[in-house]
Amino acid sequence: MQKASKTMSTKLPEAFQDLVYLVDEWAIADGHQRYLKRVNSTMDEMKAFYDALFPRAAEAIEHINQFDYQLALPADTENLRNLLYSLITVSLAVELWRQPRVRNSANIILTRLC
Amino acid sequence: MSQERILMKPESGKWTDAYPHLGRGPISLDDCVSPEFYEKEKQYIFKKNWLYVGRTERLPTIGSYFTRELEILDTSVLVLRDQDNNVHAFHNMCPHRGNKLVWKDDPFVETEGTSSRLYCRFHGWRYDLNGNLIKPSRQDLLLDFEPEKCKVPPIQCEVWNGFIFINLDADNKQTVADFLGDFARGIDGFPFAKYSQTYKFKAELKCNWKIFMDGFAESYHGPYLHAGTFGALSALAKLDAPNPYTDALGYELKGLHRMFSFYGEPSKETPYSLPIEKLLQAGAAGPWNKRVEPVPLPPGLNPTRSETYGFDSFQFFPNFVLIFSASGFTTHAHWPTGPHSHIVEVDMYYHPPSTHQERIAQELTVSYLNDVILEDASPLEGMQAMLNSGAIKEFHANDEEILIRHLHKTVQDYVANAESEQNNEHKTA
Ligand code: FES
Ligand SMILES: [Fe+2]
Repeated sequence: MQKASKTMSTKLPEAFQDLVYLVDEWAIADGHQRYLKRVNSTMDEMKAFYDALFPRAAEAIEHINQFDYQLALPADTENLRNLLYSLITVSLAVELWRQPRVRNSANIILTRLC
Repeated sequence: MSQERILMKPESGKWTDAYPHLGRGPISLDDCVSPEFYEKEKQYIFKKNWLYVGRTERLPTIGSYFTRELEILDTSVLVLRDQDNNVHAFHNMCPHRGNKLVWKDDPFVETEGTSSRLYCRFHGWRYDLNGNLIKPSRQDLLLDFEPEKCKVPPIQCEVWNGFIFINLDADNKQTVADFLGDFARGIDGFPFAKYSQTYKFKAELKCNWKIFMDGFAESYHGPYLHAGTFGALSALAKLDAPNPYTDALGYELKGLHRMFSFYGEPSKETPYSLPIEKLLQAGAAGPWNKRVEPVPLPPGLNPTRSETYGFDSFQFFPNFVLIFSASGFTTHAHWPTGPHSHIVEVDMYYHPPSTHQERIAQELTVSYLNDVILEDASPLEGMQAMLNSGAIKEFHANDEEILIRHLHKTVQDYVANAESEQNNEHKTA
């Protein structure tokens, strides 16, 4: 049997290797870019991401929370945190509006500066 | 003996009865439609009053600066911190031949940075952080030139509790604190700097600036416009009776300014909580485990001394909104860009998180509020288009819409008074 470390992706911590396929698309560091991703995605795309990550979210938070908030996160854990941020953005579309945008808001969005 | 003053509803049961000069009938909506009125607002209100342009945290060190592109003022404003740690504002232009002084790549995009001098790219003249000319280039070429007459044009600038204000009226004699008046005295000393975690948003909307201010001046729309987001409120609203959640705890008007105090029980799980809220133990009003600040609130906050107090929202004339909540404070600035359009800037100042978990929960609060603000914005562009039709000339405001009545009356009266003063000056001249 091969050692796990040889085939492991550095994109996510070891316990979250099954979610690595989400990283390129959904680990988005910038808040405004996350919102743009939401309004430019279909509900099917967001539902698939939500269903994959939501059941693992509590475990992910626990993992991230082991790190000192005052220090920069390791890159793999930062990706995991950014996935959670995207989950939050997407969850309002999935759980609340049942559509990508706020109901009746036409094409208005806020530009998030920070 | 000094007795604490508690804000109370008049015995008649109507807030409006406390302000007999406010009127009770329909109100002209011409101030949101007429391009001529917009020009007067610009001339008499925005170019003559103290305006909030940003907090001092944006100027962390000597030489820190930022620019503001403010169409309603017909100028670009440069705000900076000088060698002596004083904050100054200038028209962002070089007094040699008028080149725009500080910008990167696009002269109409706001910028920020740090610099020990102001340098004009056109002919290389240099100015110090007080706007004085250090050195023109090619001094051998100068003709009758008096360097003391060649200064970056200053704008009056003052800081109140970390909020930077400018006033384009060079003849203004009033301090910011005096202008903001009793409301400001009541919140003076709030630990603003403590809330250092910032989230900032902005949007340009195709509606008059006052229409969006109105949306934040009443909570009466809560159960209707936010039916989807605040489920508990909507259930009660069907009763067509006083609503303890959305009827304000108190309204107060002071001169040009106004405020209301609003219900908000500690954020907690309800039958309407979303799965993501349960996961993060937080919602739009902040984390569920939030504790009340141990420090006593300044006397101007929670003016009804209510146990169910949640928010205070102050609207300072003309366009600055300051909202206090258990999460911290939020500012809204509404900058007109035309009679039927404006830019709204929403800056949230929260408790800095101490753990990643807290930061992630805060992300939900901020994302939720982003969507609630969009819900607030959702009727406005359609509404403005219909106001422009001219089919109605007046709007109606009930007792819970007293601040809206006050905003429009204040703006309309201010313009009318300034105009008649101007006309009198012409006559006597
Ligand atoms: S316009 Fe600035 S140096 Fe000439
Ligand atoms: Fe609202």
